[in-house]
Amino acid sequence: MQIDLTVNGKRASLDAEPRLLLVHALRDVIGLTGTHVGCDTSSCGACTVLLDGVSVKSCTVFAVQASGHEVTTIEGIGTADELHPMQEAFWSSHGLQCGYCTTGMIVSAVDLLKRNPDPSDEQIRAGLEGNLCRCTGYENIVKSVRVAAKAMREHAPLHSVRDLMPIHPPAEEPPPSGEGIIIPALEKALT
Amino acid sequence: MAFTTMVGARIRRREDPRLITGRATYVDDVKQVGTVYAAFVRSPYGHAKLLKVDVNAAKAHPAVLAAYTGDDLHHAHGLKSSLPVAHKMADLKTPPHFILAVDEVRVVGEAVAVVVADSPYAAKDAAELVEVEYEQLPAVVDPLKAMEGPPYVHSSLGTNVAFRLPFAAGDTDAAFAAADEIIKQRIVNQRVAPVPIEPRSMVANWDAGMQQLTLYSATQIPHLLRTQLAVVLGMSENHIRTIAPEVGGGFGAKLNVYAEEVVISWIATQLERPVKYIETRSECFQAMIHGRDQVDDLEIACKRDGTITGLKLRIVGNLGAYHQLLTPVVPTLTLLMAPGCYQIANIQAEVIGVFTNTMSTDAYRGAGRPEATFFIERAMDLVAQRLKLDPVDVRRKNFIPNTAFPHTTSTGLTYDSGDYETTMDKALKIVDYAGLRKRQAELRKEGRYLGIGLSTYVEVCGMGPSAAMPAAGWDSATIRVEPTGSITVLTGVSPHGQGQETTFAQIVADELGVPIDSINVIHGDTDKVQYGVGTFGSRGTAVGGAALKLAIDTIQAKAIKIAAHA
Repeated sequence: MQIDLTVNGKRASLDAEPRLLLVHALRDVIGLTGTHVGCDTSSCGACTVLLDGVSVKSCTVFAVQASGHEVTTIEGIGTADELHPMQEAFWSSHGLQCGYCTTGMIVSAVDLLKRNPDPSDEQIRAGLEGNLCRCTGYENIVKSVRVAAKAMREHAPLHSVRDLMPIHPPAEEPPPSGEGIIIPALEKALT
Repeated sequence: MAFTTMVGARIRRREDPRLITGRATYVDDVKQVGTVYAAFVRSPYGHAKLLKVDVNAAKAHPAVLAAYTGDDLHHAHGLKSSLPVAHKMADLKTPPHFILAVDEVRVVGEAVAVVVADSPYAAKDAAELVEVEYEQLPAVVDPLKAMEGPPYVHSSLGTNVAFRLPFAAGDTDAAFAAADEIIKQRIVNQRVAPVPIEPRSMVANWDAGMQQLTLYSATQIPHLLRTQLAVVLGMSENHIRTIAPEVGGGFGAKLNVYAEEVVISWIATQLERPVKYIETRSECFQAMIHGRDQVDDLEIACKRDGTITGLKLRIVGNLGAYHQLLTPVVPTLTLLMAPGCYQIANIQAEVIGVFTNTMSTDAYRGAGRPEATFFIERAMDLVAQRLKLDPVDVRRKNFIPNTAFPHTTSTGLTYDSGDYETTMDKALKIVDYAGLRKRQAELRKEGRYLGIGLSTYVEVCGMGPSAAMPAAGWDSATIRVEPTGSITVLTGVSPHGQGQETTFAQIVADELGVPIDSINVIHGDTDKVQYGVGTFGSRGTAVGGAALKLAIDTIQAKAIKIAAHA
């Protein structure tokens, strides 16, 4: 059947089986592979996208249900040229390790801040309870959302990946030792 | 005076831009023209005879290209090899572990047939058309029952015991005879499922012109996987390329060689089409390795002052129905770490590996060592309880004193250094242990219970060449200075979230005095990177980083020589 939807601001049309899941339409037909499948059962949240601005788990939405609607995936949240503050915060706060849950986590967190621009840690945890991460233990994810919320409330300027590269130590966070760490072997060789 | 600017600095990870923008390439993101999709038919029974596996109806499905049973693979096509198990036990029982079940299934989720179709949905539809007739056989899941007698998981063995490993150090009987107290306790480590958020994912392609097989797999060990694929498929290893692209977590469960990896590789050679298989989460729970599942019986001999003088141990490891890559090794690591942070000269033990009709256990987060920590720390608390001593004091009494390092434990590991008492005291100070105990006593008067848990921990980690790693303890690195001055680092470890693209670049930037942006760290592709062992057991930077340092030293010496002649 004919399905017409808007994905990240661009029109997409596909002819698909009625049972085609939105996540497979996005990944396998439209080619946006930033949305991941982790559980097929709406438990893990790796497949989270925005449907008309509201977060949904795209592994339990039929593509046909999105017909006539607007879908935003991680690719539409921000780009390397203009990172969303949430993406920048996950990067600067080490809110990810393997990255597999991260894209869904970022989309959910963006939706959370729309509803609550200044959440407490408890509200962040409750807001992201539908997204599972196996690597981080969540501490730095909560921190990332907190940092992004502050940046967004203060209308901090957006950055590109290039702005933040080379990835020298962020100016606000000098290395703990101040002057750097002396390499004992080299020091010995030079004295 | 030389300073580092990168090692120890809080820099942003170099792998993150692609991960936070959805531009990373995990296995399921690999798109190849002409890809076909595999679906497996799996046993719903823990133990059953296969009376019939009929794939004809599936083959008649218009979208299906091929369907195979275990008989097809093993008899018609002559794939005889069993999946590999790495071990050094002379009398280990190693029953065959076919890539698709033949005659009998021994665990829920064991694959009995595979169907290949031109879409993943069609493959799943057609898999439901495969007719399988099972005759249920008695199953056993409790390792303590299984070790006593029938039903047998592998009837040809006439036992479920895969191995018994006795061990003795010191004079344990004398220690028990002289003990003030003897405490007995059973400690159970329950079974767990590793559950990386990315399930097992693989796509194989056969280049008939070059006679080359390429397997993309979500693996922690691309090179070891290539070697084992060559053995099981009977192919030349230098015609196989394995690639671990972005990998979504492993936790030990991707430190393996799975039947599905072999099956889809073989199908790719038959169909000359890329074959993709992405398991569902339900399949992941069933057919990815499990962790832990040990029943440990402990007897502790101690003096009235809390000194532990002897340990008797029986470690029963539930191996599951078949050996996966490291299945029998894991419970032996528990014995290796049995003394923990403590000086215990007299240990008598037996490790017993038992087959049951469950998924194989294998390396998962610590692989056998946390199980040891669990029982030795429980032992400290049990002694404290029995003797009405503070658990802190019992630990203090038994710690290896900091004057005794390097210390060789009764199980044969050498600890190079340590200061356990100072470390514990610092932790106690941070939590205000004395204050907590006081608060606990006050609350108890009000009828409220405040629990205070205490644990110490030491673990054999890194898995370099050592007693814990008799083979393959090394790793590798190559540094190339390209003609334009940029630096390419090829590492044999295979990070999947650990961040070595950043940490290795930090090391090289400091050591060679070059900007970090000029360094590119490449990993996880056997056609790009020299042979390496892989990422597991906290070894990425510990062993891979050490290899990197050796490569740096070599290239520095060469650079100095060239500069001196310039």
